[in-house]
Amino acid sequence: MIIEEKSLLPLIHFDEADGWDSVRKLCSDYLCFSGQQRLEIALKGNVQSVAIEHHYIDKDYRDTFSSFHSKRFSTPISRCVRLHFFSRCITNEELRDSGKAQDAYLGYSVIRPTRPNCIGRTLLDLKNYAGLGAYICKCSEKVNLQGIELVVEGFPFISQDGDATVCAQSALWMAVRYYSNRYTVYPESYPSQISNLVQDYAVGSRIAPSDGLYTWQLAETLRRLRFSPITYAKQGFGEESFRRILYTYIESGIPVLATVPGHVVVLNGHCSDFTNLASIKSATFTTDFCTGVTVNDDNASPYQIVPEKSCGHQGVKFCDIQEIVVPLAEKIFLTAENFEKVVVKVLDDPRVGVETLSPALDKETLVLRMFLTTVKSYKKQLVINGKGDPQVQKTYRELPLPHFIWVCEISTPSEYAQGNVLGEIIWDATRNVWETEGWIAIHYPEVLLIDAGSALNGSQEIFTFSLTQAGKAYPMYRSNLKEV
Amino acid sequence: MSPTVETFRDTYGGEPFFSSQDDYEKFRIRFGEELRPELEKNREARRKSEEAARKHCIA
Repeated sequence: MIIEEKSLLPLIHFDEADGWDSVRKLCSDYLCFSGQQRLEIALKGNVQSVAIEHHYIDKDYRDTFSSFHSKRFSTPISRCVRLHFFSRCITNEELRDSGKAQDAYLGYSVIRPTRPNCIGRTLLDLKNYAGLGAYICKCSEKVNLQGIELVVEGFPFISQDGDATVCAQSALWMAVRYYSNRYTVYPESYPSQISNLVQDYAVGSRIAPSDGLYTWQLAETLRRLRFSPITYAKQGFGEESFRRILYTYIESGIPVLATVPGHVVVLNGHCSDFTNLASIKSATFTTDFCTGVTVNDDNASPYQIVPEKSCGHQGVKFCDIQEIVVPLAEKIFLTAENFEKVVVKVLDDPRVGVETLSPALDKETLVLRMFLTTVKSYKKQLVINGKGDPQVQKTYRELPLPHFIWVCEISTPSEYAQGNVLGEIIWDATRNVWETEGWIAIHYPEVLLIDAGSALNGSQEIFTFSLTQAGKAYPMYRSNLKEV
Repeated sequence: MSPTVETFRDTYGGEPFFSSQDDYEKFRIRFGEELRPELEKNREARRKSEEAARKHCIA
């Protein structure tokens, strides 16, 4: 049923007479058949009604329209339509009250008058993907729909228009928009701005229409957007280290750009299978249980799962990933591969390792989970979850800590299966890799070692605390990713 | 007066982990030296990565 078909905000309730084809008919200058199919796949049949916002002026399309499309003789329309998706048949009355519409809101998609790809800025809520079995980076947006405010949580998506933007700009846009939505320190960037950022390096090449970019240009663009990017190639690190690095950054809530031959996508989450957790024989990183990644590929639909061991996947294949570009924040100096080395060294060290300081852990097989986070987020969670022993919680809470920290949580198969850990190593992410005294804390069930000297801006001075509540497990840190 | 390591110890308790500055220095130097070869390998892998990134064109 179509409600107020001739209005500027018609509503389509999906029933036997009307569905996706009706949406396309009402957006005939914008939504093409392939665009319709992509939305149908992305929304997985959860949509029961669609509100069509005609004459929508989209900031990202208007940007490429001004810088490129308007310069053509045959000019596309400068406006878009924006589709809002709902999980039930929403009424016009409910659309005037955000409190009534919010629970059913599945997100939006801007539809551009561009061919062959019409899907513009899109943010689909992760609640639409319940049961996907993945952990995904999320940001939120407040969407203004004719005066009411709706909130959507997910990962931004956009398709290339094939002219002003190709896959490189689209992938950069998705990663950068996630950051600007999530952290106020990053400014919002538009597609032509992203293209122009590399113009100094387009030696002998034109900016638009774009012929694509080299991997290093992706990193350079990110650098000019205030990131401190880092590039990893499989051929440099070897397959096993490369995949561990990739998963460690994703576990840290950092989406990474992944290049495959001739193409680039954004990896924004991962899937894990802990079925064999109980059978591990030696210390194991949780990345070993990862089974695939979730991908925003501008040629497909958002949140595609790319399993590691599947040749049947039609789009990007995991084995084809050659390089990743990681948009690190400026103050993250210590990288994932080096943190892994220091963790392994600490745990095996004759002076500060498990064998010497923790009889409880020494008789166990360890499960290790590494991630990067902000101390603000880490302290917020420790207030809620504690750290097993009140001395640890009090010291962590009150001690000045760097803005970014690397954490390696230490657990056992039985505790990890319940979402619990028994200790952690915390390392200052603002340390240079060669400053091997960068550890802030080593916490085993029986003992806490803490660097009070560095915390007070002096040289390292380690204090040790014997813990009274040895062996008490506590919930693992959860904040970087959303489980769907 | 700003808190110092001494006031930290008075307030939070805890004992120095190393018996002396010399003991700490020995640990620090050994730890760094044993770690260095692994970090060097990572540095070389990063260099190779940046080389690869200069050759790969994506559309």
